[in-house]
Amino acid sequence: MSSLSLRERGEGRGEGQTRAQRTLMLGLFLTALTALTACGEREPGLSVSVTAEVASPLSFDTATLSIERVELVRCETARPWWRALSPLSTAWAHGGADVEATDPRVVVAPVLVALTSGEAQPVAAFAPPPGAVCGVSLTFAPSTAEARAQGTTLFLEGAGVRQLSTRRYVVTKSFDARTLDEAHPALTLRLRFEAAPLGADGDQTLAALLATVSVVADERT
Amino acid sequence: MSRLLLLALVLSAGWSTACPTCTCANPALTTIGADQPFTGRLRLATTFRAWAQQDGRAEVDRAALRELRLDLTASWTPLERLTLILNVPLQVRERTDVSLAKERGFGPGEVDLTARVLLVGAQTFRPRHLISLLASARLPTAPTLHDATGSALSLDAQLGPGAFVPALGVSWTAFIGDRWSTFASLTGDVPVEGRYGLRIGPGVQLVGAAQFQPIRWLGLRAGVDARYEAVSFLRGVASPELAGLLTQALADVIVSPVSRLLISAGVRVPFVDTRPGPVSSTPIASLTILVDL
Repeated sequence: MSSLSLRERGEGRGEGQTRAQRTLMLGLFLTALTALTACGEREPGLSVSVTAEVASPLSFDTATLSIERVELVRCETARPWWRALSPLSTAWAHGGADVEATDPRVVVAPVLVALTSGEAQPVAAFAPPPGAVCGVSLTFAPSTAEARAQGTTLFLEGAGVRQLSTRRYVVTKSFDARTLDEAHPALTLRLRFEAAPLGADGDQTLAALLATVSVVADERT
Repeated sequence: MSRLLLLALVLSAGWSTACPTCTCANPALTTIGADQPFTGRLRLATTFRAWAQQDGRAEVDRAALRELRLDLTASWTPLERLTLILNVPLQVRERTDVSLAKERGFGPGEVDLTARVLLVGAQTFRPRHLISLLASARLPTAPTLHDATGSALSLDAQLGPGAFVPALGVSWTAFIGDRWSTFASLTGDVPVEGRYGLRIGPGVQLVGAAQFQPIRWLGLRAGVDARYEAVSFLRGVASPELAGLLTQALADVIVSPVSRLLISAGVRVPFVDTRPGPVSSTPIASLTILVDL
């Protein structure tokens, strides 16, 4: 029994190895072919861009407004009724500096808006998660990012006028809910600053200017 | 995860009759790496595998990975005590970040070369135990993938870490009568630094499985596949998110419809996961077709 089995095993080997060699060669050829066709691709995701426009550009030598932080405000969603019965609360990510730094709905990067320009100026760009956005929160704060801001929130100079403010304001503007998903992947938020009269000092002028801010949400395709 | 899959592949790529032409010696349907070697034995296997994983915080930095891979494996025994195993993966991988931006990569992954030295069980027609020493190396053969603009894809979207990974281990197969067999292996690997300055932490993997064959051509296998991995470093900075123990239950159905051919379908289901993450892995489905030549 054993010797018969071993003999059969030995007899089958020569034919098998011929087939094996052919198969191995084919395998190596296909592998090499595949190596040559290795490829990668990217497909953009959801995006929100925020721009600023000044309706009536100021005619000063320098007129800057500093935005330190921009945050997309997600819409409040109603809790399912069964959640209200649950003794367990919803767990949210810890709101520490780590989350702030990585939250895709927050951009912390000082930007100067030139109040002398009538063109749309980029303020922030987001790659947010899917969901509905209902507003934008803007933090105006003194900037040390650029020398021309002089470490101020608002800086106006020229035509015999020099005003500055170092106050910090958080302004939140709401708009009709915009859903970000694969069917609606892009959104532009246009901040619009209207003409405001000069105040007695920089603080008053800044307050008046920020009172005119409006936001328009435009879906992009 | 990819290392886990590769090692799992070596250990479970396919089962076949120990003596494909006679089938009268050992009827156990055995894996590549656990099989009874004899001089000149050559086995080829193709394994399809699908898996997915999510890591990161929801709505903050969560990324989802999913992959389909085709592993081509050849096992050749030039000497009775020595078996050489070559594994070449072809992969399609997609990474989706929190903003639904996607990166896709396609191509060959990282080749594994394994030498199995049989310590116990050679020169026996029907050994009850096979004990082997395993020495393997994964080679950084996966090319760095770029998008259409020439920008390299992220690390997670690449088809491997691009690292040389030497590994050593031992395996034990026991045949208990005609219907039962068991397999166990313990392997350790120490990757060197790879692509983008990533040095994956050293790992230890333990696989144990028992197989029952109610019918000569049908095997049912169940067991555990566990891997512990130390902390990885990315450009010298510790990345502990994926360090820890991941244990998966494994279940396979093995069918040998004709001599020399074997088909295996199985699943790996995570059930103990101590990795801090946050990370979650889906069950891994696999299908193997193995031919004895």
